[in-house]
Amino acid sequence: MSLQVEDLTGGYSSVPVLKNETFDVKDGELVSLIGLNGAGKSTTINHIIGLMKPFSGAIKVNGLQISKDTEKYKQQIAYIPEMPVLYQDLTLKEHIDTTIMAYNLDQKEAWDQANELLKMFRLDKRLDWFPANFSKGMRQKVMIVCAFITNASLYVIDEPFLGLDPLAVDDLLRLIEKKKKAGASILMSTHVLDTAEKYCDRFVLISKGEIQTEGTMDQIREKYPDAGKSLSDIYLSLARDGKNE
Amino acid sequence: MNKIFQKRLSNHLVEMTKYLKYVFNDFFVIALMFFVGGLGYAYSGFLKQLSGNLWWERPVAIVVLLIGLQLGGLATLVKSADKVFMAPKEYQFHSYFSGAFIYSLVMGMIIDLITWFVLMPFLSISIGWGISQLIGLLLVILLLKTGWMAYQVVKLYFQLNHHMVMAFVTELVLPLIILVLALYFNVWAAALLALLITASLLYAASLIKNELLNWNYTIDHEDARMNRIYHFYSLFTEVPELSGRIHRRKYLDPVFKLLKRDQGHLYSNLYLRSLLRDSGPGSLYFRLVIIALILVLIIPNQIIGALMTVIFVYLVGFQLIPFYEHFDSNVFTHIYPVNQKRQLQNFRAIVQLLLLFECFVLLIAMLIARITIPIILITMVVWLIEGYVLTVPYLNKKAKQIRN
Repeated sequence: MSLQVEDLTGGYSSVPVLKNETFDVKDGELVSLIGLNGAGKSTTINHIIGLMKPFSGAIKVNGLQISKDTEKYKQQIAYIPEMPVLYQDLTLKEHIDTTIMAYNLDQKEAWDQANELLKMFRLDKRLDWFPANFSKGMRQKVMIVCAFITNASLYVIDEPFLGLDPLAVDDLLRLIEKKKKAGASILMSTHVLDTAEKYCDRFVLISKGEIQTEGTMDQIREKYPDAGKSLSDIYLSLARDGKNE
Repeated sequence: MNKIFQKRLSNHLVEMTKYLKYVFNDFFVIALMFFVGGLGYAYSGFLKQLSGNLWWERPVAIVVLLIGLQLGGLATLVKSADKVFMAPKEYQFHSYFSGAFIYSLVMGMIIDLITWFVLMPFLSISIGWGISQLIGLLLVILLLKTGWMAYQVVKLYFQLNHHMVMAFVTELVLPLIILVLALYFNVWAAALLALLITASLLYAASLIKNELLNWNYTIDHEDARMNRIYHFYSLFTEVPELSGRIHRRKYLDPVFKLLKRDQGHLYSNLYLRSLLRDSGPGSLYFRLVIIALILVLIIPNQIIGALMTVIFVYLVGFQLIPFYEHFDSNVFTHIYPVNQKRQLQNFRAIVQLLLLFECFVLLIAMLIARITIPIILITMVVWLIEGYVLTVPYLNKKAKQIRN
């Protein structure tokens, strides 16, 4: 069991944004977090990666909690933010070196992997450039490369598809597939419902900081038989209902 | 559109005044007075030696006037967001540029006026010009500046960058011909020719308003101009508009290689690279070290010189310490499985390294300045205490404040 979120309540000040969230991501599973802007997806992610402390409840990655084994907990997680975050004054090569240092990776092994990924994303000729000046899509690719050279057992990916070209989207999905086969868990938040429906094993729908529904495509269809067939239809009808309440 | 320019111009002037206040600080004004005085004295001595009618006198005057003509570019005050927000009003931009043209022309003419004023005695001694010819020359260079500036407006509308030859001819060759004509033949004939060329350039500038504006060139040009100004100010004070500009500085790679590359030295690598590549605190460090070096070398009193080094070690350490939080806004520094204590240790090591380098430079300077060995030894002990206090108790306290 890779990620377990148990009864998580949390937020920015004293007002909780998240209310009693419970869900999990099993080994080798790709779960997507779906919700409207401001529903609490990013807040949930911020709690999981350890940027925010929960008011109550627990988050465990392979049974470890951040409050008890901070470094071991963090070692297991790789994160790709929604907006690429880069060091202004480091070159692409130095970004990869930094990741290798930070996660204590094996130099040769990590660079072999990095070179393969860089080639895939057509960044191999730009090792000496400052990625801070790249286009949005290319910066996102740098984030993907840095995250996927780690040996994390949980990948947390926030809105991965925005700004990526179709080829890169396909490459990213393949990478995710490969990591899944190797036993890693992936939690991904997204608005691209068609892609999510096609590739994700389970879905967690969040609304106003609470889990609205959770399960595989079949389970969700069973729960809302009148809402439509595709994830997109079901989600839209749920979101509209929520607004009318 | 002209109103927009006027508003921007007044903001621009306020900003420039803010910086000029730092430039013309007491210390610099005194230095400048000596400098100008010395230069004036040297110039007057040079003029006394002139016998007149030597072969090089006219070419020198022509070169000086040509350089004066190139100074003071078109200040459009265009901002990069204009490309999006002003695009619907592009066809009205001509009235915006006419404001920019007039302002830039006045500034440019002031430069030419100063050049002319400085050259006046030189010309009257060397080629024996009287007042009427000198006034004729002033007319020529002011006309040339007007045409030159009109051409700067025209350039904003060029769509391709293959007009290098044309720019070369208009900005340099034509003025050169006219100045040669003025100095070797007849200044009034040159003025007439300058009038013709300037009138046609002004006409071209008025015709071009229906063309498409080359936004990229216009924005790059203005950015480059503002950058030059900021770089000048950055010699005197911190310029926030400049910090965040990163330079690759490949020649420093061997220095970075000296650092260990493992988890325990992650932040050493990050801090040192940022400090040496960023034009903010890193360049401040070098500026302070160089100023300290110069002061030690020129201050005749040994004790004051030694005291200066003590003050500058303190200044450098004090300025570097806030850099500790440089990476705090980067989410990854919170996600890496690296203990925060390591970050503080690494940062301390880097600050100590930079202070050590500064002390090393100052030590050499003190030896060159022949400061006596006992004073040097005492100073070194003081450096040691300073360095310790700054990088251990003080840094610990600061780090705690930042983390809470």
